Amino acid sequence: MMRHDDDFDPFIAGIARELRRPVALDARFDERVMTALEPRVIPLNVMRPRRAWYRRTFSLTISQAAGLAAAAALVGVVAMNVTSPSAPSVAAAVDPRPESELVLQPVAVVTRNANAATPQQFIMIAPGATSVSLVGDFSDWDASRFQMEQVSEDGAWSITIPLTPGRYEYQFEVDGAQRVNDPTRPQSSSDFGSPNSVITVERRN
Amino acid sequence: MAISQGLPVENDGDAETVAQVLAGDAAAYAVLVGRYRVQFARYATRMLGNREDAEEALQDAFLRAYRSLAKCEDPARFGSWLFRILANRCRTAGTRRGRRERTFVRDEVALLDASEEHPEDRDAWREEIQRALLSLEEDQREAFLLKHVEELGYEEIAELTGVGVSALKMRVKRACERLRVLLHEVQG
Repeated sequence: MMRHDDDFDPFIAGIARELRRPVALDARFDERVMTALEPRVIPLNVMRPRRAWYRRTFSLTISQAAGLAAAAALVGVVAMNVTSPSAPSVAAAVDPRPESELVLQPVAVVTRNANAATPQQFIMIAPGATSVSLVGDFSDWDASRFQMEQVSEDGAWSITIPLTPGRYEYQFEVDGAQRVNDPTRPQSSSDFGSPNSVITVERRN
Repeated sequence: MAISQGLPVENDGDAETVAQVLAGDAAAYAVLVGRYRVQFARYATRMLGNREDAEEALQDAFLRAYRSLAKCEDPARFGSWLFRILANRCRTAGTRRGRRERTFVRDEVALLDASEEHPEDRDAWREEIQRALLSLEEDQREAFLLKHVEELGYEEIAELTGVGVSALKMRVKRACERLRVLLHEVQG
């Protein structure tokens, strides 16, 4: 963004300089926003095309005991249908039109995938640093992938990235040279080379 | 990414991230939140005068943008679109608060900046600046912040606010005059 100095005024510039100082947000701001996003309602017009559920094939493996229980339950359902004239017929629930004429129009789809990525915030205090990057096995240790953002003048750097459930090793790269561990998280075994910080992302329940 | 001076209304990666979110990867939205929260938080805090209101407006803006993401016509300029939502939320918050509350909680904004070697030396001055800023008419405050604090050009401000350039120049001029008077009184 270009500066526009056509009407530069030192007094106003001094005021602006004070107002330009960054302000700190609550440390859990990102988490609050991301939590408020759930449940995710995906507009239908942008959903990925999926094969219709009624055209998929399913395989199910059950134990002998479970099979007996399921058979007993099925017998019960059939018996109810026979003995109770008011009970809705299973056959009656099936639309008699051919499949090609059926138009399914749900209003929305609510998804919750336990293995979906969740936002993870990384914070590094590095006073005097000019750049800090997050490097790890989630980025092939490439420092250009996740450059952190300085969020306070006393040297706090932050980045939030989505990670799927799993265990990841990482470090911070300061000024493109020094790599340091995150003091707030456990370290990996140092049997082979220097240890790294470890983050474990749990599955969502 | 170091702190930049202007509002980051355009970012090379935004279009791709927006596409990811629209494809169902909700967690990718965290990238957009992380990318824009710092500078937009500053704008909201200066507009509303306290962190609580600013965070509420900012969170509301992020959520509204998320829910309406499919309507973002130019995902490469997601930041610009998000800022328009935030500016509206700040106006709504300011109108709701209206004239009933002109009080500025002492040190509230200054405390957010408490990272200086001798913060007490400048706290009073910063407090007066924020107080003077809050005493401006809302449209003047908005124009002043965008022009002098976020360092946008008038054309950019016009695009963000929908207000004509000449009207914006007048608002900024009046804001500067008013700030000069108020703050010279304090200094005087």
